[in-house]
Amino acid sequence: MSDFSVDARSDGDWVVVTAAGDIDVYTAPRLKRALTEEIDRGHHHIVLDMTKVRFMDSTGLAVMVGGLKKVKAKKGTLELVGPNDQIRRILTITDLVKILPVHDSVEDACRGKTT
Amino acid sequence: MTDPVELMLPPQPEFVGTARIFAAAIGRHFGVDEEVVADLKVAISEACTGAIWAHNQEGIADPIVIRVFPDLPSLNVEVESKAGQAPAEGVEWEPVTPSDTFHPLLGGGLIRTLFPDAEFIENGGLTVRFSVPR
Repeated sequence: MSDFSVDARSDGDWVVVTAAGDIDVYTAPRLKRALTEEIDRGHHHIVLDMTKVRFMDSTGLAVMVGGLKKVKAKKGTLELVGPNDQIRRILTITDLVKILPVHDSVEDACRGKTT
Repeated sequence: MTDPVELMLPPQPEFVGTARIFAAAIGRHFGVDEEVVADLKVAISEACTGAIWAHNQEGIADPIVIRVFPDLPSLNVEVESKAGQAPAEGVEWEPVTPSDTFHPLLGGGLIRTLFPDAEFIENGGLTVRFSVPR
């Protein structure tokens, strides 16, 4: 049984998608669905708040890159907030940290301030 | 090698979290540093995800087996599945699979980076093997 959750709220020009729990092959489809729904609603500036994500593997990376590609096609952005050390490590190993900006807070992300 | 500690899991996505809990508990029990435990969880998650994907692709319901041999100076870890192929080395991966959430090259690449001695052995299925310093 997974305690993963994901929800979304609007914040000005941005949509903040908040995920919590572990992102893996079981839960990543739910994150993907949440991102896709927001993009399909016309929200192309997305902040993904990962402050409460405990673990993520490559399935989560694939979802993020898929989301990034979709928002880029609409001249949008996908910004990450608060990934823990484990997630930062796999973002660095895969070089995805170069294309997925990381911020300390939602406020910083909405202002475009990268850590 | 000493006798292994084993976990058998159905090839279903909901059990990947159980595999990580097992990996973390075994790692800590045998004195693996916490930073390496974090890497072990990633590697186990990636290996099991690949195994589940391959089993589902080929319609195989056999369990995935995780074995940890508590040897010195390293734990030797195996993830054995009845399906799958070794991911190619050094291949550029196309980082977008819009209809999917799994990319075998990315998962295999992560395992190889975290544990450079990782082997992907095709034996009628696939066994992923690597050692974890303790």
